[in-house]
Amino acid sequence: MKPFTRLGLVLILAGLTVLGVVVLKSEKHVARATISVKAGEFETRLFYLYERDVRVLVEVIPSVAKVDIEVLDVTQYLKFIRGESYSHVYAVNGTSSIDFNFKPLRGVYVFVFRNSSGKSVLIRLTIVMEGFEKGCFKVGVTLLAIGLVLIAVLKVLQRLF
Amino acid sequence: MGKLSSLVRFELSRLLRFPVLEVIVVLAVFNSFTAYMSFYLMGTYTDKTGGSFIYLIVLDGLRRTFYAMINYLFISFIYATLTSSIAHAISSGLMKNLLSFPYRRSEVFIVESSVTFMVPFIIYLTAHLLPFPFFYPYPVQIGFGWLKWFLTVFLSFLYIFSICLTISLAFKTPIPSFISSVSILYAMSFITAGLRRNPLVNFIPPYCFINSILGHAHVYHLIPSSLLAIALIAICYIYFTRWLEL
Repeated sequence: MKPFTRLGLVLILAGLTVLGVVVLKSEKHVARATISVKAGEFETRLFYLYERDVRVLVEVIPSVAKVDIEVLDVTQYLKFIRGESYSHVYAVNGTSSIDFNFKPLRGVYVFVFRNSSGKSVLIRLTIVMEGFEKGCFKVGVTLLAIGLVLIAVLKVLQRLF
Repeated sequence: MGKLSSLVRFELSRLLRFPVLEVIVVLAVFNSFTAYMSFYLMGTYTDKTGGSFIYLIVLDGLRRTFYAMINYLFISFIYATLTSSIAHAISSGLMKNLLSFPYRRSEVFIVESSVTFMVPFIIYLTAHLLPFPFFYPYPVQIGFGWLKWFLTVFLSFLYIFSICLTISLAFKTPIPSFISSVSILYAMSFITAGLRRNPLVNFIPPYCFINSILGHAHVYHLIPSSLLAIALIAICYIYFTRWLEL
């Protein structure tokens, strides 16, 4: 087998393997955390999220208490801890329970819980991720396409010359 | 030099014949992407001090990447396959033909073992480190914190390779050497799993490598397994160059 044909085959197999892993890892994943936030303070939790459909459920205990919730990416979080003005991926103020969806890019996200009430609260955070990881899916398809194009070009060149 | 490079080319084409290279790439890519995509929760980082948390995240990600490379299941299988092809060369008479060319036995051994060891190592490193910026797209200066993990992975691969090479030269036939290599490596892995709570496990493979990357063992814990690997390769060298009858 010629070296470039072999390279094409290797790329096709690598692409198929990546797609296989994307399918294997497409099952629903649930991450849970219980966070205690003292009165007048804030707590942060970091999560690595993939380019999948993400659903976030937050429940505040006791249910009469209210917290502010922000979801920040790394750049926004750096501005947040430096005390600079920052935007956010998602934010809601004064809530005792919330259920929202968002589509993250692959990377680290920070959940900030700010307790502006006079009592300590407990927050139950549930993050549900499902569906294909879109970034890895694109990598798999790209590798597959490059491999197929390489082999096709070689076949055409072989016929021409 | 030209003589040796033609030997390297010949060994590369022989050892990585279809579909051996393809299988190694598939296993490496599968291992790499499975490890990257199994990472969800960052734990309970409550860092409120400054930007250093990105450095910690990236360093932790790199540690996980090196940890994923020490996958006994795949590495044992790959090295057992490649070294059993050396056994096949001996049993089929190919080695005898090769040595009838103007190559010294020492040259053949060094080229054969270097190619057999380095190719899976390089493919694994590439398959695991190339996607790293894709999964951790943060501009962080990592420094040399990863060198210990790199050394651990290198020594882990060398250890597995040395055992497979020794068995293949001992049996000189491909199928028994493949089965024995895989069986011995798995048996050792299972036996040491029973000793997991014993502090001595930090000296015994594969846990010395696993614990080294996880930070439970120091570099000096890797010395016994590294010395064993070097001793086995040295014995194989002496056997191949002086006593092996073809």
